[in-house]
Amino acid sequence: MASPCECLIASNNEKLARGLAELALAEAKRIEIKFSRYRSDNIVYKINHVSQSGIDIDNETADLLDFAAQCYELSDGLFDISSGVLREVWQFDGGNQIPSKEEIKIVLQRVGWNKIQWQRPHLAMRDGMEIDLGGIGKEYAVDQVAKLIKNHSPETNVLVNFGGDLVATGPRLNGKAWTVGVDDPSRTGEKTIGGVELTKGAFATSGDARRFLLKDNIRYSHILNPKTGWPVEQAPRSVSVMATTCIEAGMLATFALLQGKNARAFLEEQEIPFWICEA
Amino acid sequence: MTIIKKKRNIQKKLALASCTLLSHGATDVLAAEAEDWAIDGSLLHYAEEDRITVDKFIGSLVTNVSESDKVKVDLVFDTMSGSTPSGALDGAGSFTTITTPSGAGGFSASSGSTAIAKFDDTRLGVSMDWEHTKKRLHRINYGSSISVEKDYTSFGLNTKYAQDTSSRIVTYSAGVAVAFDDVRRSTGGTPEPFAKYNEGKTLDGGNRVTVDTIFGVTRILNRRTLAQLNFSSGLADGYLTDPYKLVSRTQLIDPMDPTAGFDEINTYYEKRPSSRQRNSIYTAMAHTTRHNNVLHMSYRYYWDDWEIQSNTIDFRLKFRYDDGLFIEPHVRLYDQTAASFYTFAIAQEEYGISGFPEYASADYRLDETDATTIGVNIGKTFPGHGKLRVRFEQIQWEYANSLFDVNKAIVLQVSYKKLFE
Amino acid sequence: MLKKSLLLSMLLVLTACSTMKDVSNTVKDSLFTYEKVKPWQKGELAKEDMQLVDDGLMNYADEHIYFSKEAATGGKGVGGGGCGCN
Repeated sequence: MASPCECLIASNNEKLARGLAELALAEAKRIEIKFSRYRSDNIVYKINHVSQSGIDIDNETADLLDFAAQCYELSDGLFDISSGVLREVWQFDGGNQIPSKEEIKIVLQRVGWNKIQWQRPHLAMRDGMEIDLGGIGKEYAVDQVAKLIKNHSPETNVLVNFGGDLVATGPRLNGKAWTVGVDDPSRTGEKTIGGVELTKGAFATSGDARRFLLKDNIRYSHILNPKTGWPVEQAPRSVSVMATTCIEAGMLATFALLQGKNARAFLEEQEIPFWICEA
Repeated sequence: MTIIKKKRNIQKKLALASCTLLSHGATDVLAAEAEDWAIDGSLLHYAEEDRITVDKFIGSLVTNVSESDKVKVDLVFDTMSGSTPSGALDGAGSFTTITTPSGAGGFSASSGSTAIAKFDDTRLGVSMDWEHTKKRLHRINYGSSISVEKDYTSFGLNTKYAQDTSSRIVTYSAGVAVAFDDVRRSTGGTPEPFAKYNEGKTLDGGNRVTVDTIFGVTRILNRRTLAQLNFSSGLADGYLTDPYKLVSRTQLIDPMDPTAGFDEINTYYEKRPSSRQRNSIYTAMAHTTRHNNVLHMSYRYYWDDWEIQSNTIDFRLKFRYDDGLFIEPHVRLYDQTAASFYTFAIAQEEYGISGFPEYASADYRLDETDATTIGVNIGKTFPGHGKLRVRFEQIQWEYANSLFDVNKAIVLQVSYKKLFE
Repeated sequence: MLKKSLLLSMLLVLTACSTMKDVSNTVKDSLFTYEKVKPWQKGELAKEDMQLVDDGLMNYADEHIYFSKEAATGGKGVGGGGCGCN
């Protein structure tokens, strides 16, 4: 998951809590292994290395692809799981190397969900194209883990937090809400800009606090527009959203970032609680 | 610069998409029970060597009517034909009383003899069961069944109560069943017991009532093992005789030499007691081995007041393979002692020309018997398309003191099961 | 008799298809291991194959065959319908 993951279990029963934690860990690992783009033995690798005739997909991955397809529609093409190849020309290491227009043009030919044939259960795409479920995977894992724990122990409430994307399934033992601090992006890890009380629901944050490029005093955020191949201009430093499920919260936060300077307007339009730190 | 093409609220659509994703997300194995309907159907062919053949269709439907109610409906349709030993010894005894070890039987009956009874019948049976979860950990079952054929009708009711401990490691259950049977010959009525064959009065149809009870404990021993222990007891009262079965009176050809053979003097209808009290202790286990195969074993000890005692051992090992395929060999060993009133024939040397024991039956099914079954069951699950099973069994019964030493049968059963949302 | 012992030995071979070690492991794992199994550990036990009666139709067919051909009956449960064959 590439970030610290924790599971807060509201229970007095240590054995139960340990058991649930084991479950959570197993499920998180399972999802990570299954959808990580760094492995060469999972469905994502197969998809990205199979020939142009494509491959048949299992139910769980198919559900994620269906969801990604819907997000592509809802975001007018700004959320695109095939945009990962752009990282070949953009390396957000805090340095000052930015690609040329030519390089971007060439890479863009291999980007575009509309160029992929997805008809459940079959997925086919051109050579050189890749899908990356990194933008959905972590939030999906949070929701799945919470669901699994709820199925096994309906009376036990938990807060599942994978690197700031979290969901709470109910209040704490004392009946009170969980208090969640919102990270201050300019003093990340040191300061919070506020706190949120969460009894039941999800909270996700997206931002560019840790990855960017700086050249000629212009800050290039790592949020790339898959249509142009360039970073989204004036993207907010961070966006946090509250919703029913983590995946919904995560997507809204991501969509907001992709709106660049219109992030706030977009968020207000959605009528959900949000926090934004503009650039 | 990126501008949203038009201002719009996508939150609701996104929320819906998210819910869809999560509701279909990979769930763990225990959710497999969430299917609402299951239909299972079987065609079965049972054939004895030179005797009865039975073809059966069995169908079963199970559905979760609500969160706390499950209903099961079963249907059976049988057709039976062929012949079966009546218990009588036909005509002149040109055979010895010493059975041949090859088990070929020392006698071949022609179609006109009384030793073989022809058999032709169809049966229809329906049963229903309703399982109600009263409150968490407590379940009650109510069931009923009806079976109808030319010469037999049965109606039964049963109920069972089961309770789990809070950790769901142990389940205690108790059940009781009552059955009302009506038995008659296909030509009508029942024969007068011990009357001569084809003579004597025809009495009314026979009725009997059977009550059975069972108490059981099922326990999870460890993560991969489940075990059960049951005690059953039952009482049957009424007409327990078989209206077709016969018993012969014989006379030794040479009173000094039993091996010289005997003659059949007369043939009579059999007579059994009008009550039978039965008991059994049954234990079973299901275990997943380290190789991920499933072992099923069971043992039953049975005894009743007809002085029959019996042991049954059953053993299955299911080898499971990755693509949903399994191969399951099966062995069953069975033995029983003879009923106290079982007899090969009524000997004139003992009872004279016209005397009788209190009860007598030459029905081979009450004889001292050893039975062995070997079989294999092969099946495959087709994800989304159901589960197919094909089973082949070979059964052999050996009798200690009957006209025919051996009965062999084969069973072929093909079944298909499908689950529906 | 000969047949019985032949079968019994086949049974033993079938039990593990290989070694006595397998047989003793199976016996130990099944009858001599006791755990208080937690709900989340019941994955194996919940599988259809681990039901004591895992195939209802086969069980019904067998019960019916042996009920009509043998004197002993029952043990597993009560009720379920009779037939005129015994």
